[in-house]
Amino acid sequence: MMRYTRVSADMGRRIARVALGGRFPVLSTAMMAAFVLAAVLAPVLAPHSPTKANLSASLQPPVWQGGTSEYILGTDKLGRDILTRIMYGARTSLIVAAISIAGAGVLGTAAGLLAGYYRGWVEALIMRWVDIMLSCPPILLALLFAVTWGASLVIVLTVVMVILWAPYARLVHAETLSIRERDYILAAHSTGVPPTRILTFHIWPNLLNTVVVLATLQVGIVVLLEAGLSFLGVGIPPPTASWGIMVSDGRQVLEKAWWVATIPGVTLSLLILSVNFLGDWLRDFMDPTLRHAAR
Amino acid sequence: MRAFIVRRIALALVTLWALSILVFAMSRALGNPVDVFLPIQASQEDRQALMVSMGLDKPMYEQYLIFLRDLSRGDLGKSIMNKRPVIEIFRTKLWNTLQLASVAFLLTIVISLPVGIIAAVFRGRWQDWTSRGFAFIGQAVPDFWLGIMLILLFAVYFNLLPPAGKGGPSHFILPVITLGWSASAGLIRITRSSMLETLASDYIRTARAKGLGEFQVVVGHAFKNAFIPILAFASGLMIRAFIMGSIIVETVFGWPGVGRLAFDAVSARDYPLVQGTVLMIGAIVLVINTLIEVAYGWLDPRVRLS
Repeated sequence: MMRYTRVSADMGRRIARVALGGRFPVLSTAMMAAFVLAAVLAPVLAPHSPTKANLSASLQPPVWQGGTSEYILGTDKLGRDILTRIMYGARTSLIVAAISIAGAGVLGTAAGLLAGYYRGWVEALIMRWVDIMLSCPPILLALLFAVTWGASLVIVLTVVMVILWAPYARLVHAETLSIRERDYILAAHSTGVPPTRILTFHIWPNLLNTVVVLATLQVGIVVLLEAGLSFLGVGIPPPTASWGIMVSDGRQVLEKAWWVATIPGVTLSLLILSVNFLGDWLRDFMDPTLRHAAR
Repeated sequence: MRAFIVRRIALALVTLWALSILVFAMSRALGNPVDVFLPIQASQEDRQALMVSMGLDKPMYEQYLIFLRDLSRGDLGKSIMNKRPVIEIFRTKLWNTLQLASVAFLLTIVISLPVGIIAAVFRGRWQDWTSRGFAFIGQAVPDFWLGIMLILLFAVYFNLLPPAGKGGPSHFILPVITLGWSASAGLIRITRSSMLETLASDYIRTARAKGLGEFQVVVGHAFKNAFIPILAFASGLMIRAFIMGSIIVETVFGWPGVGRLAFDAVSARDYPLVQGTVLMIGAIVLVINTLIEVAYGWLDPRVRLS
């Protein structure tokens, strides 16, 4: 009986700590939800076409600067509606983040599991490769890829995945090393459970928390990376809407039209802020020991 | 210790080798490199002659060995844009990047360490929240956009600072802020958590118990111990961030360094220049990282024994 009261007292303290220290980020969650909704519903909600130029409406100011309600956030040099392009840009960012993080997560987790479980030369090979990838600067890789095959969505996804699987592998490897020594794994071994089953049913579920937290912390990194690459012209090729491209477009007309570069950057920062808040909260909530694992 | 150093250097060499294979493979994935140098109306004989003179008629592994041999002599080929050796162009630009990065590096440390310490000492008070807010924003704001906003504000509207290029000290201000903010965000967070950890240890309580002043406890006792991991951990992170960030920041501010060079080379599709620049920047990052890791392992035995 005593034990149960102690556990519940711990739980109470834990909940109190979460409630006081790392309050559930309501604002960030709402903001994230808004971005996801805007991205998903862009074809329905967006008032204009994201790519079609309309030169007669070039560089319209936002509505509070004497613009019309036709273009609430103004237009860029080609007369494209900025609000529309922001919504489609959110789509681009979130698609890149979702695909590349899922891909990198699967690859990295598989690599880390294999390295941690089989040890020996498999481990040596995989973990050395992880070290190499972790010291490889992503922008350089993107420059090299882009100049060889031209900028495209596939190249962006490839670059991001090639870079991002390594942190998963390192983390999963470390966790697997400790999990495989536990008694229930030994028990499974001795009763003749095959290795693939041990990996998928006995070890993998124990890693899920860690992997989910790392994935959340990577969303901000990926979105920033995609925007940076697109800004440099080695990411998503125009005319597709990407926030990085929009800032780059705005740079050309900075003196005439401040809003073209400013607005996409504000939304980009807001998205990263809310993702980081959510990620930090989730990390503290689910796994306080992960604090130094994220890149 | 020796085994640790050997291991780190071996890893760096393997990484460099992987990078060289990558760059070589990319250069061959482009199709026949002679096409880049020859005019369209060149005859088949001209093509063949150039291929032989460039060694392109040899088998692939032999070409790679030649590439490595040239590399070891510092020969990275010639730029298509202005026909000068890549290594020479790179060398003239490197100094500008180093200037910018080192000013940003020093300033980031000078600002972030006190801010991080203050945040830790005044944990939960307004000083803490302000510095954490500063750090949080620094991590969320993309550097390319921050640079453009600074230009908009200080060069276009207030006309106080030059928007681009390299000149006197005033040319440094905006690029340095752009480079430094996100790096200082990370450094502040690391300093804060490292200080919090140290301040909670027993010998700090002892120092307080024997009646030392708060300043002496924080600076003389806690910071001294928190400092080494902070610097070792952060400098690697920061140098990486600065060299990578320089590509974006130099592009935004038209700074004549190697980052801008890489960007220009990509825009002009100058393959030899892109490859040479990528290889050189990668090698520099690698050498610095290895040095820092060795220094870290020397300072902290736990690192080299893990």
